[in-house]
Amino acid sequence: MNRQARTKENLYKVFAILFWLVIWQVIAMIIDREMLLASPIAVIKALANLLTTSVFWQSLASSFRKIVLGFLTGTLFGVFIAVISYRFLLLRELFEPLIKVIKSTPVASFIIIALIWVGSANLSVLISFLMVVPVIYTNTLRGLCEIDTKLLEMSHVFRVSWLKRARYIYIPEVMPYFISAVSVGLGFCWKSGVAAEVIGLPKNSIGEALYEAKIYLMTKELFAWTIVIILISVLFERIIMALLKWIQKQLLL
Amino acid sequence: MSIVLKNISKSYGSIQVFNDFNLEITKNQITCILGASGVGKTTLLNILLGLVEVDSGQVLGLEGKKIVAVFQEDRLVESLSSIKNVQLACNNKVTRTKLIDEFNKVGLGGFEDRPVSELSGGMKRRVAILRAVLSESDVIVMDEPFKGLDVELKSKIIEYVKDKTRNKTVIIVTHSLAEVKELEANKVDLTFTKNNHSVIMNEY
Repeated sequence: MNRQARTKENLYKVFAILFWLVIWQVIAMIIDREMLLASPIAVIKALANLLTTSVFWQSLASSFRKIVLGFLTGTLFGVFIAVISYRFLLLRELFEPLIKVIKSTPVASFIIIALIWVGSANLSVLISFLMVVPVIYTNTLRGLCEIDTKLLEMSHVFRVSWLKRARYIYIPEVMPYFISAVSVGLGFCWKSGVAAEVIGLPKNSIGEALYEAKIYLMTKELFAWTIVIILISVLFERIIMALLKWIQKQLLL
Repeated sequence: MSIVLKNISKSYGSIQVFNDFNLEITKNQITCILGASGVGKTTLLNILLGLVEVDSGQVLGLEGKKIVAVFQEDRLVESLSSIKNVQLACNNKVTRTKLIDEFNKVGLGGFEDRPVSELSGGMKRRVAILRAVLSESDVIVMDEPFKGLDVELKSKIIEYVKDKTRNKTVIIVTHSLAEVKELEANKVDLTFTKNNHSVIMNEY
């Protein structure tokens, strides 16, 4: 894409955001009841207030730490079981029903069971973990199974070392599947992690703040927290994606 | 010791390709295998490479030998550069400077760092040939290695292959008698029998 086309596209993006903000503001003005729909201006003010409180930063840090921990351990575990399932058919068959059960069980059921098992403090770690494992497992395994067997035969014939095989054949072939799984998994983690906190109410967490906003009907704070969650998850996803793309590039050097 | 295929039988389902097939390939020389499509030339190479298991019979003379290949479909890692594809198969003793020199010899100078996906069919073929002749090996098998190369380039590459494989056992599948002559190679003609089994018609 040339520079002019890119500038045009960016302008359209800004326009789209402004358009929906204006629509939001107009609807809020028509309804004229902050409790039902807070206006964007009121939300921005509430957000500015939140930023000045220490509870905000504590809650943000605590939830972020737990959800990211769940995501990272879930990703590592998902890749690990995908690799051993690829290698051993018996293990693949063994994991298959388990993964299907996790995939189709409602998040709320998991949250309630997990609340009994691990208590509220580490609830979001376990829920994020459980949400990310099936996505990473399924996609990584699919990527591994899609590797051209002819290339593997070639590497066998030329006696390519397992390290070079992993770096130049397996990882580059699996990477596109893995990257899309990470993108989907991250979204799941944030949504389910925060939902878990709303039910489990661990101290100083985003979930607790959302719950309080709900019971005291603080709509503008609810909206402000939602914006914070969206921003933090988008930012984190961008960082992770950039890192993965960089790794992908380095592998081919 | 030459490579001996002794009483080889191989079928794919109901189609029997080889039935009690015998062949001796002279070592340290180039041998070309000719024959109609479907006669079993590629199967023969795959048996030598150990990629296809025979139903019965023995392959002798390859014990402990490293055998590499130019496959019919190149089998290059498309996302990697052409030089990286060659390096993948070579040990670390072959330096980049030496490799660039070899790329120049086959008319691929300046294309070393291009991803294979950006190369033409003929270029990919040459990268596959470079990979096979530059990797450490005792035996090289090539499945129609000069396919897709124009006449002038083909002669150049044939000379290159001859030069690089001196004193190595090389087995080349081809459809062209002219290539056999240019390679100054031994010739093995495979043909179908009435029962659709492959046999050797003549061997020089």
